[in-house]
Amino acid sequence: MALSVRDCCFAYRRRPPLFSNLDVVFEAGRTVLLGPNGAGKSTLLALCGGVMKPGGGTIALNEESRTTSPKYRARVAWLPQTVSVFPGLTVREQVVYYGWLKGMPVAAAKIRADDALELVRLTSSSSKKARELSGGQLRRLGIAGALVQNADAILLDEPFAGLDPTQRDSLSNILLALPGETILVVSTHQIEDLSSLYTRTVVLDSGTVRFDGTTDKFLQSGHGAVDPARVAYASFVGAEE
Amino acid sequence: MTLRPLWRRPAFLLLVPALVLVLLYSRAYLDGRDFAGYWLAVTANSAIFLFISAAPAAVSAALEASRLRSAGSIIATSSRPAFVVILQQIWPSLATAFGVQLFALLLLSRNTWGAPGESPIILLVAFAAILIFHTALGYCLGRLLPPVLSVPLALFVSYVWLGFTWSTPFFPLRYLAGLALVSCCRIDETMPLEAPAAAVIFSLLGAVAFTLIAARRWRGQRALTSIVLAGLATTLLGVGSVAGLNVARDLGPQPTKPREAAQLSCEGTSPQVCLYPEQDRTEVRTVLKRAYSNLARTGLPLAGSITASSEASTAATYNMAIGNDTTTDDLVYSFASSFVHPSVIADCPTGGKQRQASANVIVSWLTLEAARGIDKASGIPRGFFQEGRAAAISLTRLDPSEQVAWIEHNRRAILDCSTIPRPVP
Repeated sequence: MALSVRDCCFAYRRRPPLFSNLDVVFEAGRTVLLGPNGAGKSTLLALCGGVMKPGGGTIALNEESRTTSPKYRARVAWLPQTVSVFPGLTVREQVVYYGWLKGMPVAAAKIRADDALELVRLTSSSSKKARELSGGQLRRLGIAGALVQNADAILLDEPFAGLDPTQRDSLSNILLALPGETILVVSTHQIEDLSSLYTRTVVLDSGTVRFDGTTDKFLQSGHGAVDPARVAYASFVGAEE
Repeated sequence: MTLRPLWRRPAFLLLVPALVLVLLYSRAYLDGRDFAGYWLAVTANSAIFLFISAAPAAVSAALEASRLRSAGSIIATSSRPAFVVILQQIWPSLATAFGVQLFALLLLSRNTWGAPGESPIILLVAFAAILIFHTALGYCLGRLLPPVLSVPLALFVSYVWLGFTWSTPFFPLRYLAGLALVSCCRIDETMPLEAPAAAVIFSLLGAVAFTLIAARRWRGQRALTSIVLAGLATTLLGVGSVAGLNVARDLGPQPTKPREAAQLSCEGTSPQVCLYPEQDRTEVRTVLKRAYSNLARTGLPLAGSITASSEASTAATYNMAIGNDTTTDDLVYSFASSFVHPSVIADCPTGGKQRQASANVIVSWLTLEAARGIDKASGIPRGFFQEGRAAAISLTRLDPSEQVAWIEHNRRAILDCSTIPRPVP
């Protein structure tokens, strides 16, 4: 199973092209997407999530290449930096709603919602209004939404941003508990503990893939340094980052 | 199975106040007895309750849409089609609106249950289309504007569209909103198909247009797609308006036309009594025959038939109004007053008072004579005609031929300015 981006072109209106013939393949396992601000990480995830359309090229999950098709969307979960709350819904209802939007019958979504909430440790808050959750809980709610639909690919845009160390650890443990056959792509500026969380690293800069390989290989680029990840990162995208 | 408990949906929270409003309005202004028995009139008159049923539809749809507006990224990756997501949101609004309208119709028709016929399907379709239009309008506003603006605006636009168009002097426009349907119909009238058809065409195309606008920025759409959708929505709204106005172009202020005479059921001779199915009751025919024979016995020359119609009587037939709740007393008076022209007296330069006084005596005398021997018939006319009752009683003391001569002469005089009315001897 793989989420492949081939010859992808994209430009925001009245701006120079961000991607020109971008090629990258995300396979089963946990991949971290690194890059400076404006590198195109969020845009790439939004394109893969079907929220935006590429100007050219293809994005495909195995054989399904129409990102607007219900089949593709049912198999891909995209979580933006800010997890939206549907006003008036409880935590459980919102997870059920995620499942329903992805094509599940309500009854089935209700059953799976309980399992998903347990996995992200939100069962005790399931009857709370979603807007009452903290930032970290909201991220977990978003992940529960991805789990309820049994997505093949989960795309998380900056899930650690704004979380305290405890919340970060909690979220990391949830990501580690995800099934191994799931394609998990996490964009982040957080380059600590890369090796313990991710099996693969992709570095994006100015719309171009600077590095694509195992996390171990990425860290070897900074071998010998006090902070090898930071040195490796700087070697691909520039020292100021 | 529903995503959210129904009791937490805005539409259902608005259901109870809407039903109470219907009940209060019905008790205060419209109990349905005026047109009881005639399903077309009952159903058409229930259009007035669109004022109450459209409001919760528009407001709750705006609220539902505003929720989606603030949760854009949740639906951004939905694999369900936009219209399914919209339908999931607005079905309680539609159900509430339909429920309120149906409740109003049931309330209004309580004196009509058991009467022949049924509510015309086209009118029910028109009400449904109008309510769908208001729901789509509210939803569209809710998608475009924050709730603090969209909710009051939905209520305001909904009311203004219904109310303003009803009072515009450009009659076809009244039929697009649908409230003008309320002016239908007397028993001898029916509704032209164009009236509800105009509302259906405009409302459905308008609803599709508003839904397209609401779905315009749904997800992953290119700017071009968004522009095309907006253009399509504008075109649909334009086509709906033009088509609706065109369909209603020949309609006047009221959506009525004479009912087909073929629907009359005529029985008997001298008199032949012709009634519409809604009026055709044994006691009506019995009372009319008795009243007719009473007048025939006085020697008054009579026309050969009695017809249910609001038109002026002719030399060949007495046209009279008969409602479903008309009592025996009303029936006798209605028959008696059918001998005079609906405008009662001619507009002559002089002698107006004498002509009116004569008309009062004529109707009083006819009512008195027609009611003889009929159980529950008082022989007393209604309204200002009662002023002639004392003179009519004096008239009955004359020789029968003199009475008839006086009536015949004064019947001519009240409509003919060249004939001077004779005072009661």
